[in-house]
Amino acid sequence: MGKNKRMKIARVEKDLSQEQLAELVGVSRQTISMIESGKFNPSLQLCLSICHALDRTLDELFWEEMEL
Amino acid sequence: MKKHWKKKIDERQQADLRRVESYGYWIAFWLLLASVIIKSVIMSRPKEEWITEWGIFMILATYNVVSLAWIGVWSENSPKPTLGSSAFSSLLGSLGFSAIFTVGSWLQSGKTMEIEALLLVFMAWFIVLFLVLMAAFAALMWIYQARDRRLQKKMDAELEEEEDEKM
Repeated sequence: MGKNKRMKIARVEKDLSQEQLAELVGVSRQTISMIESGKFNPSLQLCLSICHALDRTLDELFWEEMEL
Repeated sequence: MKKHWKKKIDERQQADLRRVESYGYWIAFWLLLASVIIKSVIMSRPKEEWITEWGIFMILATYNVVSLAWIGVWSENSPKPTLGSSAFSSLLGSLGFSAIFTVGSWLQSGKTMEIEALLLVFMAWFIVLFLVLMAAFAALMWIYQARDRRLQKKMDAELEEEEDEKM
């Protein structure tokens, strides 16, 4: 799992800090930081909360092509 | 009161917490085993000094085995029980414990046992332990398979129920 740059870009475009996004979705700032840096694999429920908070779809933020 | 006990950590923190607790469990598990072996086999201390630790160790081991069978997982390395993995684990276990018990016998004899006698003790322990462990694994495999059949039946029944609801 690589870095999630799309999530970071979407957060910055929405003018939110990691702290603010964390508060919106009900997690700690460290968790947001770890998702963006690819160190934590969030549950589908948390992915959905992040998508709602950033007004993006799951595909836009989390879809990855399979490496065959 | 309810508010006080409400979970205040997120899923990542919870996963980290579970990982830390899991490390703690395994450290306690292996240290207990080491403590029982050192006190009973190496130091030949009276049973009263290590029986409680042995009891706790057995409770932990039973909890582990029963819980894994209950959720339908055999082990981290093998999702389903196989004769090969059981034989391999029995071989490792019996080799390790035969060595420990042989060292125990050697220490109890005042380090005077001949190498032939030690080899004999080792072989006797190895054969007994290997058979006991294989029998234990066979019993566990039977329990696991019975539980697995029940889980499969439950899932089939749920699927049938859903299909009936659709009709």
